[in-house]
Amino acid sequence: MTGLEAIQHYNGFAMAGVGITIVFTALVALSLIISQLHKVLLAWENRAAWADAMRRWKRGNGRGTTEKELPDIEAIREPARQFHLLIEFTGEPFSLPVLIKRAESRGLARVHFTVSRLIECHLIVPDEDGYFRWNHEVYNRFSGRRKK
Amino acid sequence: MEDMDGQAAGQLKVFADLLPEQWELVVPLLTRIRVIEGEMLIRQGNRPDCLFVVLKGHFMIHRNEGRCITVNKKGSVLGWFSAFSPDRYTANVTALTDGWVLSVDAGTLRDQIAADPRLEETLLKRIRENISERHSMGAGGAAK
Repeated sequence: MTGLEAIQHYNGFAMAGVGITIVFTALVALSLIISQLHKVLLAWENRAAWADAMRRWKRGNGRGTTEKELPDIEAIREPARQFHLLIEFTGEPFSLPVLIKRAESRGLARVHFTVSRLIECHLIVPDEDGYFRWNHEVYNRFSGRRKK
Repeated sequence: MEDMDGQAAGQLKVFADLLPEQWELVVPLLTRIRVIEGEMLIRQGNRPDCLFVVLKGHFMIHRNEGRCITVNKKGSVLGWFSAFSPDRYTANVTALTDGWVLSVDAGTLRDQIAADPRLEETLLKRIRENISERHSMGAGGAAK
């Protein structure tokens, strides 16, 4: 028994088919992974924002609310403490761009994003002259809650 | 216009009063662009080639001497002065968060405004409202 007959006898065609299927499936899976890799990397780079969004989604899930939620104050506890120390050092009122530069020069992470969160939480508030102040009242409440 | 239909852009307050024929002229000037946190969208002193309409995100409008305001309201206009004058930008705009803005080609818009003064009147009215809202909301400082 030789040639095609032998191949047929020993399930050669079926094995070739399975082999081709396995290889193509793996190649398709690999190409899909590579095509979506940038999304995974973007999510990894913005993991803090993603974690925050997930937390808010979990909290809001089932409530059916469409109101714009305030940022999770717990998530900015440590950055708030760092900025509070920095502002105590630099004095008030302060220039927001100068504060951002100082925070960056001290190696604080995601300074712009954090400042945005602090403004949204009313920990940093504008005065009437284009400068900003630290909201001690809100921060004291925030700190008081932390001590519990 | 990339990723945004003209109807959605037309619902933004700044364009709400445009007549259909004016809107037809403005639509081709719009481009939706993504900004990342920390990105400087406008640099004080540069030639004003674009103005921007906030779609999403938190932005800081600041002058070199240190004063600033922040805006995060959808439809807020950034670099509005460029629609009416080819003078240089008078403030910087930096994104505090990732976001989206609608970029408007200011040079072509100025040409269209020169050809149709009613367009200037309509846009300026809405932009004035936008700026006064910005200030009444307690954002200190001023920036064009």
